[in-house]
Amino acid sequence: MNHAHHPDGGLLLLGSATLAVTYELFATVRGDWSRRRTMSFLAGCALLVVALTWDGDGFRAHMAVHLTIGMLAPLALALGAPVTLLLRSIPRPAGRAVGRLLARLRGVANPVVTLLLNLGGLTVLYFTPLYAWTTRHPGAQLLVHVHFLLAGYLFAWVVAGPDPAPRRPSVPARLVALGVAIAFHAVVSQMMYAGVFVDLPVPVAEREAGATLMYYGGDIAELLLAVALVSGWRVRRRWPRGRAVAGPVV
Amino acid sequence: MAGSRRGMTTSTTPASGIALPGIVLGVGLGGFVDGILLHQLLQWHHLLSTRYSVDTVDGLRMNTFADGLFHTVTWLAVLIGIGLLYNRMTADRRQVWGSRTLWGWMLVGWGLFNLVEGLIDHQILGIHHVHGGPQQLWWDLGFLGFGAVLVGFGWLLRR
Repeated sequence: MNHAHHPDGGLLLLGSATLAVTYELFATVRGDWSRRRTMSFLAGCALLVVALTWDGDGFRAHMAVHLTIGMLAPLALALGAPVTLLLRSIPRPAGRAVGRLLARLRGVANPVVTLLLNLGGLTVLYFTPLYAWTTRHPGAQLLVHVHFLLAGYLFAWVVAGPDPAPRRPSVPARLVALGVAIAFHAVVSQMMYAGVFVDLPVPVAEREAGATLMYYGGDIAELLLAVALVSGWRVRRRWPRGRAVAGPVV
Repeated sequence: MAGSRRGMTTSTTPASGIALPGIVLGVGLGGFVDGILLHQLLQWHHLLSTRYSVDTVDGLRMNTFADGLFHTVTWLAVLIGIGLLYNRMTADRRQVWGSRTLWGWMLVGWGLFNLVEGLIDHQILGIHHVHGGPQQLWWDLGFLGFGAVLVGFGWLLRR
């Protein structure tokens, strides 16, 4: 059951370290890059490293790692605006290529698809024998980590930015997507706590502890996501309703 | 034209405009403080802890269900509050989030949450108390008093 030293996690570790070094390099070369964004991105990489080397055992430890890799780290990484930094650092033709690549992501960069990736992933992991399988196969576990990291990053990016996204939906639409994610996450964690429909061959006490962590940890991560959304929104340029008649301007 | 432009940005968000979003947001965040701090961390009470004992499985299940409903309402208030605020914003976000008006109304909302929760849930329905026990009346009154202070402080701050 102990998956603290899974060999394939090394690949992700190496990836996180490379990301951090590359980002820092680009940020240093640019010079005028926001320190806040740098701190956020490096914190995201650090969270990944901590989660991957976490020397915990059992289901509660799994949940802590899952929350960190699937929710906290992706948010911190997305708030680092790595794509914006990349676009500002590379020559224009290469930037255009990145832009075209981003435009291709139009299909994935939408709240419904990112919700399906995240919530579908949760459902498959906890309501099918997949979880038991991942405890025996480090490779499968690595794939699950990668899936939640990417799906979580896409969701944080679509909902909160700050990187440019093709046809980003309106703020109310993004709030609805966040609401759906919150409700689903809470329902899954309560079903897990009650042991309804879940397929988790772990001791009851551990399952309950994991579900509790998922419930409250998820809440905190989602509140942070809401704060990120709010801190990044832009005001639509328009006249407030009724002012055209009543305001002192006219 | 220059005058009209200045007119638009200085009268950023009329005080009445952000009263509702501020209060709704405050109610939601006040609910979070209650839900996370009192229900979960301190485990002083659950939503129905007077009606259903939290020491039996069935009772705890009923309370967990009710806490889940409470959790949903809290989240809805936060998300709806943010949405309302966004729809009424006419100024730079920094101006809005830094404004005393908004924070004042949010404190009013938190205080209102405490007052309504204290009056209806603790006093009238009696479905739970802040901290059950021989001194529960004082805890409940303290909760109400705190709510009143929040409303008063928020009211002063918002001007």
